Amino acid sequence: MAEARGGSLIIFGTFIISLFLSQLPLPDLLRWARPEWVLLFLVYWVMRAPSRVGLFYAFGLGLLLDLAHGGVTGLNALSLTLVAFLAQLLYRRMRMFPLPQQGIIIALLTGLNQLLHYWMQGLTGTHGDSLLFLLPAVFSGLFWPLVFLFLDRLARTFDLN
Amino acid sequence: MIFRNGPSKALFMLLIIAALFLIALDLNSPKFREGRSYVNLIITPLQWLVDMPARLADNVSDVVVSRSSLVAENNRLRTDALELGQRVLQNAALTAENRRLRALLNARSRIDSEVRLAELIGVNPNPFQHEILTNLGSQDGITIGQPALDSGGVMGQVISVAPLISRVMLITDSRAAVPVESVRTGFRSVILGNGNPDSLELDFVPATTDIRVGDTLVTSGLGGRFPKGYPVAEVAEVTRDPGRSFLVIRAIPTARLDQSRQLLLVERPPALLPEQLSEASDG
Repeated sequence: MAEARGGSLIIFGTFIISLFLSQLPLPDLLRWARPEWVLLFLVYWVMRAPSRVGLFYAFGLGLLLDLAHGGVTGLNALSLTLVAFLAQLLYRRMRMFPLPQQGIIIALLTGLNQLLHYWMQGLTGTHGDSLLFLLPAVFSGLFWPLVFLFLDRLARTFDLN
Repeated sequence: MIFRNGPSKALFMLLIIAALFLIALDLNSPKFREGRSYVNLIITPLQWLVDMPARLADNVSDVVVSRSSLVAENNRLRTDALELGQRVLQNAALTAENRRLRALLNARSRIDSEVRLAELIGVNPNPFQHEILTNLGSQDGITIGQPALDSGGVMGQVISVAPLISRVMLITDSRAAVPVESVRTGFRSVILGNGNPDSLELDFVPATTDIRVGDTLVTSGLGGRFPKGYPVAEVAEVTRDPGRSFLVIRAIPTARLDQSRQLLLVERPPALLPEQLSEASDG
């Protein structure tokens, strides 16, 4: 029991790291290229430990992210819940895929996330007129193997499931 | 149990509805946003943490700085101080003269605005929103709507306040607008952010307006939010397209929006009450 709780703590810690990464300032050139770290970490844990990390986690993380970003409350909660739900539908298949193929699915999921954000931006009156907002999807797909290997090492070390 | 046969659809629907409810509440209720600024406290440690590398780097560069560069900086600052001191002297004389002339014109004398020095502790990572976080909050007396300046000019205005931090929307944000006037001609307009980090736009300027590249635009004080006379932008490009009824004007902000780590939050001038306004227009 104590072990299980410790595992949850470690998972929570990685989410703090992902929130931190999502807040790091970047130079203007790279602003659009930031991978959606929280989403990457969330999908990994849904795949790895579906009995621990689920929709509630996604919702809570989304709210924290909304607070940190200062945008519309509930937007990230909505999009991350949706992504987590899709990940729960897909995780058995995704575990079998090689990493690049997983990356492609991640890119699609992030693209969906970005699209929701873009629509909401339009609704609140601020929108860009370029397709740059889809760039994080590409970069999330590219960064996925890195995130996967890092978290996999961590999960193996602490024997998390 | 619920995860044995795929994800729980009921829970999913419930959370989605909850999220949509929050979004609707956020968009429609100012009270909700106010309450949110207090909840923001739980995220404040994270924002401090994010700022730490930059602060550390600052401290390190303070410690490991060569003697020669210190001497050079010292010399430069000394000449600056001399120059500024001389200008202050001139300023005092000009202010007195201005006050006398204004008294002759029977106009209300301008009130000097009080400023608070705030430090930048974070930048909104969302490229749609040009916002920065400062280390002063409602505990320091900061309120929503206060203008923010740096040494170059207007940076933006405070749009949300938590007890320990506040959020400043920069003038380049696509939601931002500042009433301005041209120093050279006195032409008044509203300058708009367009979501581009280094340019602003003037909309609906008639094609016959006298406006040139290099004109300085300062706050006009209309609208009552920004105090009068602070530089905002310099006109960088004027396109006269015969096919359009308005000029296309691009301006570059004079404040160093992406570099200033210190900014000044201006205490807001007391808002004019309706009776004062009618008085002003009568007399």
